[in-house]
Amino acid sequence: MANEIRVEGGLSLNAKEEIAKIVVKDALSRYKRPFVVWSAGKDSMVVLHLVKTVIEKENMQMPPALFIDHGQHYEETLEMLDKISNDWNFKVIYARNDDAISKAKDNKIYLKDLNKENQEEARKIAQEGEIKKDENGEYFEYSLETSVGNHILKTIAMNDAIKKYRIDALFTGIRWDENPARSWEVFISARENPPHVRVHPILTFTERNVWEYTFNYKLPIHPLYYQGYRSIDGKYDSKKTSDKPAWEQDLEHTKERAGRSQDKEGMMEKLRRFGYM
Amino acid sequence: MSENPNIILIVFDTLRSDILSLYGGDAVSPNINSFANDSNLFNNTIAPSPWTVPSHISLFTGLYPGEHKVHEDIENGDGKALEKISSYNGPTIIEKLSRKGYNNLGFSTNPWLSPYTGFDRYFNSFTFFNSEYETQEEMFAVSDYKKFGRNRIEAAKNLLFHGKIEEFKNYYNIHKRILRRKKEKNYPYMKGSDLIVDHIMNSSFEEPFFIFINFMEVHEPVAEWELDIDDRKIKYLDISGKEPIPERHMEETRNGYKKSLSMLDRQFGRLMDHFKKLKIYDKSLIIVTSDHGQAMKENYKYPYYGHGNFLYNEIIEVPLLIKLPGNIKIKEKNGYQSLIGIPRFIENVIDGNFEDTITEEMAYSESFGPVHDLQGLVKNGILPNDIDYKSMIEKMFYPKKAIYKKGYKLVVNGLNGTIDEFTYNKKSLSPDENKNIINELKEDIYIFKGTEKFVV
Repeated sequence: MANEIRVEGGLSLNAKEEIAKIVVKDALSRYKRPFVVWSAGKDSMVVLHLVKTVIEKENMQMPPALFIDHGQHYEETLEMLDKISNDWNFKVIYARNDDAISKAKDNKIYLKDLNKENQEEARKIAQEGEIKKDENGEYFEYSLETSVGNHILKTIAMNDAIKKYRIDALFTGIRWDENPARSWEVFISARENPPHVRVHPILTFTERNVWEYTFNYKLPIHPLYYQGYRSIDGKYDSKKTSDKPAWEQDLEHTKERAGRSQDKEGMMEKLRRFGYM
Repeated sequence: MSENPNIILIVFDTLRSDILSLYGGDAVSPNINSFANDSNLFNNTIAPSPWTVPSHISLFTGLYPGEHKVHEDIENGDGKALEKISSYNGPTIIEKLSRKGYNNLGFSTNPWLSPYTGFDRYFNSFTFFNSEYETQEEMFAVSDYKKFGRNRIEAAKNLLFHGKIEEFKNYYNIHKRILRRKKEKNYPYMKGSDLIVDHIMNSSFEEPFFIFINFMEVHEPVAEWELDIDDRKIKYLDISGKEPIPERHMEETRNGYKKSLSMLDRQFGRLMDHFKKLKIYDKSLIIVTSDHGQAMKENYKYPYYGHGNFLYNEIIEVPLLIKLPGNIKIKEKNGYQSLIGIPRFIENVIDGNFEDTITEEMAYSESFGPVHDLQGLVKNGILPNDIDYKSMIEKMFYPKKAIYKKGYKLVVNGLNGTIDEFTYNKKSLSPDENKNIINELKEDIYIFKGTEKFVV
């Protein structure tokens, strides 16, 4: 079962939107300090818009967004953050593993340069072969495409922010149809270390639904999607899947994250256990 | 370490840190000082709330009041907290300790922390001592006579006026008896710490135990002039300007506060000696702190006697002494300690992690309105009819939040986002000349307040 991808087969997008809004409303009313994880990518843009819609209807205040800054973002991404947060009137909090990012040189991060926590975490998560050795000692690549890079640059940064800001609910844009590790997620899922819940309003959306929603509500679109990227993250690791705009590609029969080189069996599941979305 | 250490958590209710000589004050407390020799003394400890109930729930849950929600509100004052404390069902450190096989024992002379509020249900056993030394008969008699007037004086007058001479005599005698007994027992300086210590000294508890004690000695009243008046009446008539407390009374109170602390110190010394004799002291984790401090009309825009609502240094800066098993000393990190860090710290010590896991970059304190239901106090005749409680709430008893970070302290008025207090190392600073840091601190408060309606 864990290796199957789950796709909601019959619901209309309208119904999926209603489900998403119920999930958002329920979480906003129950948690004191919710944040929306936002990367300016298509999925988190939809979640942010759903939250904004519910907030306006319920006369609440927009929660802050959490941007995971791994130090390899496209300029276009950062510009979008500024513009949209200004236009929609919410704050963006940057979660960043400064210890690791500041130690990166020549695309390498040496373990001995890291603080104790980062060193321990790197050893805990690294897959075979990810920690390499040269004359200066043990290192891993400054990349998001390995378990260790992803964990240190994104998960640790996020977990630190959860602790620092005492976040009790984190909204994310994961979907069942992305990969098997996400196919069995639930709408509100409790996590430990640090304790909080993940709120997943658009689990039922397919990749195509995300684009339909984006066009229906005229949401801002990251410029890279026009250039053929289907999934955007670090500027050194994201790759075009075609030259066509993302929404014109064969979404149903090709892999969304093919653009991102990481796809090792089980890695997503392992990362999930250590706190990655 | 294979054996779980005994844990003793002692709250000196209402003890502000600056009064202790360990923190630069001039109160006499030899036993606390000698305990400090074996302990780690933390210098920047902030109470998450300016009064008993929210602070204690924070101490047991590791959550800020806005998170555990057992706190006062702007309409009902502490009535709201009473409602919440009896229905709170979130996780506490006590259950975690129970699962680890701890024998959880609570002792208090504070009625908020007693079977009457439901606070006791966290413990295997909870012993509450009524420290006012009234017999039940006397207690009922006093409340009977209160039907004749809104306070003791008025009741006495009304009894006389209606010719109820016998009742008046009876009432007068009971009242005098209670006062005499209080005096015999050193009330208001002593409030039952001796009863708690005697009780513990005469018991033998199954180990490992977790003992929680709340000592009320330095909680008001701490002077004889405070005895015959409702302490809520004193505070609100004073701050409203209707009946300012005379300075000589405040002097008695300041002295009485220190005197009470010295008496408490003696009991604390007896308790520590007892654990030393049993050879429990050295191997135990012993934490001494307070739930909040006490303002004694220091120089603020609204000089106040008491605690609750205001987030003055004197009200939220509290002592923290932690004696680790083996009397180990640890290196204190830079930053602040909040009572919310204590449950986590306890768990870490049980897991054998003796680092400073309590100090963090920031600490917050929050207040949600006046601690008392001011309208109710007027209705019940404790405050006069002509007191304008609505404007008092708007002017001073509004919701507030404080943040401490990097030597700065900022207090914000949640009704309109204006700045109540902005200091660096306790010296006032101009907000206009320090816009960057103000923005940073305001952003932290904005994030901290979460979905709560609170203007930053």
